[in-house]
Amino acid sequence: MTLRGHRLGSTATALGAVAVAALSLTPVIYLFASGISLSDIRSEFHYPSTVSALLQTVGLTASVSVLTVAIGVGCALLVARTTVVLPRLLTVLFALPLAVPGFVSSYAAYSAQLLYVPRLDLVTSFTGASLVLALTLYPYVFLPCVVALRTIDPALEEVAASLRPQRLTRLRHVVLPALRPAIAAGVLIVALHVIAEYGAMVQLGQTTLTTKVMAEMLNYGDYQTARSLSLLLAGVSMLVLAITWIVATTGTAKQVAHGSNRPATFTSLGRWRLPIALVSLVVPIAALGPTVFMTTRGLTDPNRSVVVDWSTVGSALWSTTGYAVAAALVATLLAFPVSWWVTRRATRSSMITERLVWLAHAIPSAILALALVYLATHLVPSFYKTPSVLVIAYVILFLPLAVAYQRVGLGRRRRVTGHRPAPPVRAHLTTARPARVRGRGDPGRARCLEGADDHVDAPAVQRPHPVVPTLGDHERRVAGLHRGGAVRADARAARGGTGVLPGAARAAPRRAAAALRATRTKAAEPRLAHVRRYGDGPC
Amino acid sequence: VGQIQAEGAASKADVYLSEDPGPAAQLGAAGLFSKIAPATLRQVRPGLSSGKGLWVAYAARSRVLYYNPTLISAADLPKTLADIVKPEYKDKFAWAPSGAFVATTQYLIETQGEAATKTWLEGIKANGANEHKNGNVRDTVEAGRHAMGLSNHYYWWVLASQKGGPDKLRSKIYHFPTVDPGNLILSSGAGILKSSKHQAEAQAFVEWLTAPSGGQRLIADSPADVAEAQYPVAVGVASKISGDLSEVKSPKFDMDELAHSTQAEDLLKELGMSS
Repeated sequence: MTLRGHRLGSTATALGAVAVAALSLTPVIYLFASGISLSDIRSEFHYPSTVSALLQTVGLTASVSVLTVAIGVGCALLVARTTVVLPRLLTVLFALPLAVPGFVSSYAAYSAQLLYVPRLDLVTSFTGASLVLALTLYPYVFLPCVVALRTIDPALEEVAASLRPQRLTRLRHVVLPALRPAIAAGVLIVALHVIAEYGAMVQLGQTTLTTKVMAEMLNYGDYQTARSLSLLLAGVSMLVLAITWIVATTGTAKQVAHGSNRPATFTSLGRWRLPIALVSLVVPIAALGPTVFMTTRGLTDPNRSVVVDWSTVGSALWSTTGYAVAAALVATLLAFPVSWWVTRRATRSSMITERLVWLAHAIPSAILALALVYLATHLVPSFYKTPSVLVIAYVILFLPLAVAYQRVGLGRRRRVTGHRPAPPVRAHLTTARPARVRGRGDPGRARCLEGADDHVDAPAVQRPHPVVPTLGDHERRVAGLHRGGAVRADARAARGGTGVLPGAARAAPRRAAAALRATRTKAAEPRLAHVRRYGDGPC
Repeated sequence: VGQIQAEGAASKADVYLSEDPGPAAQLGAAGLFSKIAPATLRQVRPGLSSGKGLWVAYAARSRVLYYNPTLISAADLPKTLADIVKPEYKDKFAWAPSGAFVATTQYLIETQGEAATKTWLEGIKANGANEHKNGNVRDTVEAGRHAMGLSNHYYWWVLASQKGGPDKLRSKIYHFPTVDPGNLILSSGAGILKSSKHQAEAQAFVEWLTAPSGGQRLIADSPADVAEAQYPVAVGVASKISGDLSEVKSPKFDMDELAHSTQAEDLLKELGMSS
């Protein structure tokens, strides 16, 4: 591609990204357009309960974030860095809670409490509620961490281990810092979920800004105050966006050399391989147990008079799937300019654009819906009450998740194919690939390096080979075969591909479960035949 | 309400059906409704619809007290809503700051004054447990977490129908014995949007909805998972599940007053009794 073509392409991508960000800001624009001001927010602080709801929101966000990091990172380390038995099965089990919406698992936990210990506040206390929410949300941290753990340069860990032979040195000085961007991405999703959650909070007896917004609408019919509080909520979410940004961009991991990585080193658990796997099952069991148990109990209750009408369930499933597919396709397409731009050119404007996409995720869906009702009826009345408006709402909600996972994917793609282009033959012959890790802790710098092939203004990077057709994932995996790790490498790459799941999972749990199964199948069969070639295109 | 207001003149709705009187009164006060035909209004028992004829009641629910006989006997229950804040009931009851609770508060402010209402609310806050939702009030009383709970009548009937009959529940439903704000009847209202291009059809639908042989029969005879044990409001029609509305000893009041519950909202928020 010519330089001029590149410039045009970059400008088009940037414009597309800004347009997408503008779309996701729709609810915030509506909040301002509906005539609320900062003084409206101030007047809400006249009530002491606003302050306590704000504190409760911040407290729950913090506690759930900490818990999801502990659970998510712990589980990720277990499946990606130890010799635990059946790591693939464990990965699927650890990701499974994504298929149950927070409201459902909270309702199940609450019902179980009423059934067995009606007088206790097990799940309706702050601690209990934090735990129930964390068990529902930790996969958002777990999944990106698994992906990230597979891409850390083992050479770094070896250096660290050789300098300080203590067992935890690697973990502290290489692994955890390198996980920061993944943790930050996961915590961002978790935190914004907690901030915008309504149903689960009500069941768990927690009063947050979002429950107050809903109370204003449902109990008082006071939409003006609901909008004021939503704007305050947007303010809180900007704080979260800023904090996760800082966490993601502070780090220590540096590259050792260019090229892609060897497979990671695994900590041997010895004869504890099985017992530790069994103990770790506590996590998915605690997360899914109440839901599975209460659902089974309800369906098998001999006294129940409610008949499950499977045709209704079937048609609901059908329309859910339709909306989910449409929303997933559109969100994936629209997310692309944003993720592409911010991955290729980590400028301030691209990064701010990426952050803005997240704002809508922290606003209660009811407010988002009102915003779309208002805008659709005033701007495009012919679209109002058509499925397209609902799809747009889903797209705005799930766009950030698509962006987040595309960024992980684009980062991987570049590492795999971008910098050490080599013909397949070379790959087959290579037994130990020169190691290279992206400066994970410093995305700005890292992306400059990554983009160096394409951007003349990026710092010069040594490029020892001319640009020739590069390797696709499968070729890498084929190459891995010669290192004696084909199945594992393939599984890892395939599981990396589960990154798109969370958004879809919330929209259509069954589809997500099917996708998980498909991933497992895919992981089990390395398809050696599909060797793709990449020309000297943007990759 | 928010949706109808956001749509404004572009609304595609012809008829608006509310669950509680507040939202119907709110849209009526905002000038969004055409007047209901007098013949339609006459089909419904007096005192349930908008006094200005802006909307008509098509169903009703009443405030009630649930109690769990294993924790409190029927004889020990409070005789009036005001009595529930007495010391003997401390930590024995649940409540929820629902729309119906807000309506009760607004009614009390208008009939007994703000100061008395505030004292009563402080008692509720100090002695009761906020379970956030009327459905949770029902479930916690049924489970034995609380001896009593302030809620709406139909939650209990819906659960009874799901479990296979009222005798399958441990909790019971209690109406205060005399005319009392604890038995407050709240209408579900139907209004015709001024913006509708089908005024005649909308009037005809609302007339059918409130007719004893039309919509009212449907509400009276349908099982709880369809009509949710709501009371029909046409003269002479009673629910097969929850009975006749005339048995409910509710004080009469103008439900259009609920268009603006800002005083109740202010008071509840000031006391930190909001969700």
